[in-house]
Amino acid sequence: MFLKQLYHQWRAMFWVVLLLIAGQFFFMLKGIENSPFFLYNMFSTVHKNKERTPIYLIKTNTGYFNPFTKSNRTAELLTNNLDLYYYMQQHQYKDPILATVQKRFGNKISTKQLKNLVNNICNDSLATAAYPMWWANYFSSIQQGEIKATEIVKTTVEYNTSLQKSNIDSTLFLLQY
Amino acid sequence: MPLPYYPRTLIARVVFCWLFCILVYFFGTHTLLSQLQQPVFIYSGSDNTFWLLHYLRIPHFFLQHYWAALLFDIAITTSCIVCIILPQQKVCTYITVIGIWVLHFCYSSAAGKQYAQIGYLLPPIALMVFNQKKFNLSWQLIRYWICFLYSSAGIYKMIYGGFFYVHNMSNILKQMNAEWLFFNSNTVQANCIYFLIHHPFCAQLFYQAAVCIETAFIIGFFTKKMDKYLVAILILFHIGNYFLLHISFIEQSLIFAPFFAWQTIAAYLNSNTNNDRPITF
Repeated sequence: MFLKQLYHQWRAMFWVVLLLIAGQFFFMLKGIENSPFFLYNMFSTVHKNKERTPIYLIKTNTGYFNPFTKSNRTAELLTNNLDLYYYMQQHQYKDPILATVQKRFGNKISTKQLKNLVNNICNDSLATAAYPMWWANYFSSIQQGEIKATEIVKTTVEYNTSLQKSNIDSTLFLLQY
Repeated sequence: MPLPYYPRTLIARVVFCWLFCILVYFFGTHTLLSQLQQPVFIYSGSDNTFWLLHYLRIPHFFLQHYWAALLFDIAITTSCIVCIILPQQKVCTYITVIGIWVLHFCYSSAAGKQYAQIGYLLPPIALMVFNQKKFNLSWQLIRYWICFLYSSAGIYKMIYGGFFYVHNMSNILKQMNAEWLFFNSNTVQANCIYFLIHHPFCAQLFYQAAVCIETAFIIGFFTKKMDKYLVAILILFHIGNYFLLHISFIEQSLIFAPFFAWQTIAAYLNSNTNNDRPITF
């Protein structure tokens, strides 16, 4: 009914909307993400039990820093990319998205264009090397005062009757000021 | 059938006011572009639009040049304020709406996540239409888009099996709360989360209730009479998300706007103004 109204009162928009609906269903069927054709499928798959869950912790001169005292957005900036940093270190500084780029565009664009694309969307060893310094700067900007972050560690937790943290903290990077 | 009337001026003022508060929140949380300290890692996910923007080096430009980022932040905030005062101002409306999308792309690239919190991006799009008749249609389009997003989220959870796997929510709680519980294990909230982790059936009931809430947005395609109930359950859904998974919905909150009874609000405001000075919204 609404589309009929749209057709009669704003024909150009009607065709745009039809095109957008077709695009949305196409990308949904293909499972390809393309903003603004959002695929709202978060938490939809089956989540299997993991014996141990890896977590990253921020060590400071006064103990572990609780990122949940900050907003979600600040905590995201502090913690979301730590896993990527770890991955880059473990995989000779090859960005995990590289495989998807090559699968999607490997045979469709020229080598020069592909190289340009990879350079612009993938992180490399230089970015990885600069990351701890950026992290320290951002942490200092949000945390004025006595607290100084000294080290980022990776550890694991497991659930028994309550949450238990592993005694082993492996250093991801040390922070120098 | 006559088209419903949506008072553009009133809606623009409220939406841009709301957006301004969100920008203030971004400022307060050190997440405006100029406050990001020029991030070195970029995350483009597997989204082709992100790839295109990165290929054109648009996020890089704003993320790596402090002055460009600062000018961008000032431009977007100032134009948002102008839009509150002058809702018909075209240039500022375009700057604000395009600006928040650019901000979203840049922030998401720096923060290593994509579009979970997109609520603040959608309703302002309709305000790029200035003709009242066409605005009535575009505001409804945004409303249908939001109905689609939530209902598809519910349907995805059924198709991909999360809805039917009894341990799903319990495992999600374990994974999502691992860090949070390490720091907050002795609170009432933590006890509730532990209870749900140890009682997967109860936890899954919450998950299934959430799926029902999301899927209920299909109703929005057929009638607008239920909009107030849809907003109420949506708020409940996001409070649940916040309580159990710590997902803030400050940015997402603007997504409620298309479900408000704008005609009633406009009529109420008109009836409370001086009759000698009629205000048309």
